[in-house]
Amino acid sequence: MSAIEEQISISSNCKHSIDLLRLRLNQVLLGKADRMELVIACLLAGGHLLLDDLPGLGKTTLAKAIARCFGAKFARIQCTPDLLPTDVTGFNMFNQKTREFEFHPGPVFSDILLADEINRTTPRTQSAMFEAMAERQVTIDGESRPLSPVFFVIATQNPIESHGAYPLPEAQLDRFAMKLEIGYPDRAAQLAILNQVELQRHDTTAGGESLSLTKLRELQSHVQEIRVAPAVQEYLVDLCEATRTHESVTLGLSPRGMLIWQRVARAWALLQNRDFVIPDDIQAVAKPVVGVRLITRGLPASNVIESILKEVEAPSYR
Amino acid sequence: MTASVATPWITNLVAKQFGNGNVLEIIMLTSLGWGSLAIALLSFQFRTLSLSVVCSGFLTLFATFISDSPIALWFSLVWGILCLWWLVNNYWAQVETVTAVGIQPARFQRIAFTLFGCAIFLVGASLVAGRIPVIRKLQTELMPTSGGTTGKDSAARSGVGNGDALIAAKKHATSFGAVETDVFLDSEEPSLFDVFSDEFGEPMKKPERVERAQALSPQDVKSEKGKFTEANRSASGSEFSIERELPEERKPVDDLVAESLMFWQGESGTHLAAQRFSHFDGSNWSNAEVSPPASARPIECTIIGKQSWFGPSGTSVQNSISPFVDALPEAIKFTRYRSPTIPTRQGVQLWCIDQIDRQDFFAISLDGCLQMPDREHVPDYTVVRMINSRIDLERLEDLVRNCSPGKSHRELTDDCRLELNRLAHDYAGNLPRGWQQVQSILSGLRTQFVLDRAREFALSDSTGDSESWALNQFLQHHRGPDYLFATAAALMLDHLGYRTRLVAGFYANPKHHVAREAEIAILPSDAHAWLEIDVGHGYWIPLEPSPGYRAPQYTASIWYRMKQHRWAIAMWTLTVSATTLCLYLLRGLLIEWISWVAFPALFLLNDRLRITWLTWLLDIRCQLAGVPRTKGTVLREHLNRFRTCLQSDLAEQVHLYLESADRMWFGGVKNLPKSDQAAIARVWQGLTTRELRRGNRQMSEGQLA
Repeated sequence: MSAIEEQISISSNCKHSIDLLRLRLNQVLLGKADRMELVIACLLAGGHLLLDDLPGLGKTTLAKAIARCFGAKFARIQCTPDLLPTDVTGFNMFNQKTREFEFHPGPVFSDILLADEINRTTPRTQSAMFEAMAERQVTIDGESRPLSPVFFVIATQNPIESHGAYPLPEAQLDRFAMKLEIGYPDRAAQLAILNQVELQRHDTTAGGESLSLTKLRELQSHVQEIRVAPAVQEYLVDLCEATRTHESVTLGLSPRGMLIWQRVARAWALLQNRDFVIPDDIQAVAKPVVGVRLITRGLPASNVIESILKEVEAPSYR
Repeated sequence: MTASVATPWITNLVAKQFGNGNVLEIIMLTSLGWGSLAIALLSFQFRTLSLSVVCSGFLTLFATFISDSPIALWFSLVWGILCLWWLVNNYWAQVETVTAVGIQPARFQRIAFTLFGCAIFLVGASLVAGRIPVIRKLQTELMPTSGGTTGKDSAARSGVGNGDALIAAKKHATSFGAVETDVFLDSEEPSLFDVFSDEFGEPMKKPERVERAQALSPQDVKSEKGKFTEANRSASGSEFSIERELPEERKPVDDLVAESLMFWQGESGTHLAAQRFSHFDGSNWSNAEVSPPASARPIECTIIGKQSWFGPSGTSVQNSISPFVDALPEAIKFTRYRSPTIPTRQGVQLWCIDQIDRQDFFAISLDGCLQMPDREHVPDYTVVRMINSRIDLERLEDLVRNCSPGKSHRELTDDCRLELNRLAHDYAGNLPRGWQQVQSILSGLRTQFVLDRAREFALSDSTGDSESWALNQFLQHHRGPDYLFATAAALMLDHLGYRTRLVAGFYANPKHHVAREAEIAILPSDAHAWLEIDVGHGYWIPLEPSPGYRAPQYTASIWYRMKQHRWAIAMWTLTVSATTLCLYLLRGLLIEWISWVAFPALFLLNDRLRITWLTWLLDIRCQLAGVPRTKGTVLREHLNRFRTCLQSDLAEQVHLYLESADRMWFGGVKNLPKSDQAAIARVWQGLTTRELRRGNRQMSEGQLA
């Protein structure tokens, strides 16, 4: 098999897997195809997702669905103020029978972790997830333990009930690839949801052709091979610099944020069946990627991002 | 940044090694200016940019305050408008950032606010103008000087007590300035008359004609000399002959400073008049029309600061806030000059000599030249400061009213007279009367005649006994010395009806610039003759007919200049406006026509250039269709707006074009398949301005529906 044929084969495999994933997730969360695209992009880019929305909009359902799609190990933490870091990472317990310490892994030792209402827990517990999210490993009692290579955190936070909440620090926000608001479904989707519940339909993510974690890793590694032309990279740098010099911004994008932006744009390009990134991809993922890590002077981040995208000249075919 | 601040200092150090350089405060200001410019250009931070604005504000206001030129006020006004625009722009940028979604840049509001601010400023300025006493005081003089008048006056930088007089005294032990008299001193230096004779040649002595006298009674004899009274003759004291021997050859000047007659601190190319002659008898210029005798123009004294300034009576200095505003402060320093006449440029308003407060030190002769009466010559090392007004072209309005039908010069030989008349009519016969005729004659002489002081032709045709011999030779050979140029021009203008007079004096030759002292040495070789024309009410304007000499600098208000060229300006404005309007209205057609003509060339280009050209064309078409693409919008997103309104085939071609362009620009593809190339050609031809406009209209209607 020649290199080109191999490439075509890989591409068609990827396309098939992505289409399957897209189909299954859209069946779970109806009427949110655009949001699902971003969620898949985040997953393929190897980033972590922060869902900032009201209760009952399907955040948990989405996390569970992703886990089921890939047959992945799913864990959930309901974040409360009394949650301890060891409840997240795990701990060593002395076994009196064996006279040895035994490690009891926490929920982070899963493939997909749902941290529900993450802003309800204390900063101490929030920071316990830093290492896990950034390096995909945790260090307990001086011993580093690797996590799953496809470790994916979906954290949710409720923007309404701010009483007793601990806003996520900037350092932790920067570790999320993107922040999404799912929002209410439209009327047709709501009717479909009602019928789906009434009919007690089977979970469509469980049956049929399965996607494995190996496939997910394959997709993630394929994202890294997506070409980014120098002109697009320069555009990306221009945008990042614009976030730092914009007068309404207190904290602009860090180099880590810039790298994540490029990765998510690559994943987005793959979702569009392209093996190269175009400026449209950068713009398409700008709001969720930049919005999570931009600290503004009281203005909505989306407005600032919009104005930055308008001001910075996009590369053209000239 | 550091380099920009240090450069003026380093340059000054180097310049000083070569005898130039500037003073400390000028270097400091230059350094500050360069520094703020560097900050403005290189800085990316808002605070440092603001610092550059503050610096530029300081420099602008400082320059406006210390400058005597009213133009400086315009600079500060422009600066103020720019600052206002900056502030308004900042304000609206903030507003737009807050409401970023769906808001177009508010250009109209920006312009309206700026204009509103300018209007408030102008109304406010006109309300307080002239009502605040301190402003009147500031307008006269802000900075203390040491006797000079402006920052550019070198005397102003000499310091109190170490001025030119002191320097002169140190250099020359016999220097005693103007307050002393030198009646007992004798000198072998050349007088003014000798200077002209040396430079132009000795006047020829004509053989006396002996004719048989008719017996007339003494009372019937009307002497030719009777036309001129002795008093009149003594007013100018001399004649100026145009028929002269060849001047002796002179060796080149070795030392400008040592051989100079005087030093001129002012504009180079200035004409300094020493004698004026208004009557020409065919070979000699003299003052003939002077009357009444000895009624020289009185002189008035004005105290400005602690210095007595003198000027012809009637000079409206008191009406002005400051005599230095809109005037030329200049000075002349005498060294080996041997004449009581002080050479001045036309339009001298005021003059002074340090410590002189008596106006009888000066007199204005009947020909309008400034003199020091009862003196053999102006004392050495006397420094005369002058305030000269510029030659006002607006006075030319009177020229047409003042000219007469013209006269024929009977004193000339027929040949000479006819040739002069012919030339005058050739040069200016078809032109309307006034300044155009004058300029045309000067231009004719300057371009068709050659300046030649040596007069090589004169040796072969030396027939000095005939009348108007020199002028004949000049007209025949089209070459001669400067006084013949002046004479010919004066006679031609006389023939056309303009009143003229010959002026002998000195020319501030730019070649004799003494860099160290920032002044011009006037040598005997700078003796020069030119003419003046009376434009009416006794206002004479100098004219330079000789090639190689700079024409005098004239001035006029912008309004007057515009009025003079009103028809040309109107025609130009009309033509440009009409052309611009036509181009604007037909811009869509023009672009489409150009794209149609250029279409075959598309196939000669490589794929990348085809896409570049098409993108450029589509951007222009979008602009013409009223839907310009903003710089942050990618072309795909922009064109996708029209996709639903386009024909399906064309929409497909647009999609193909965008796909191929993406592959080529960002996907690393080198060549396109034939189908993509065809799509590019189809989009070039199909997605026209009209199509885009139609799509835009359909979209608008759809949105409204």
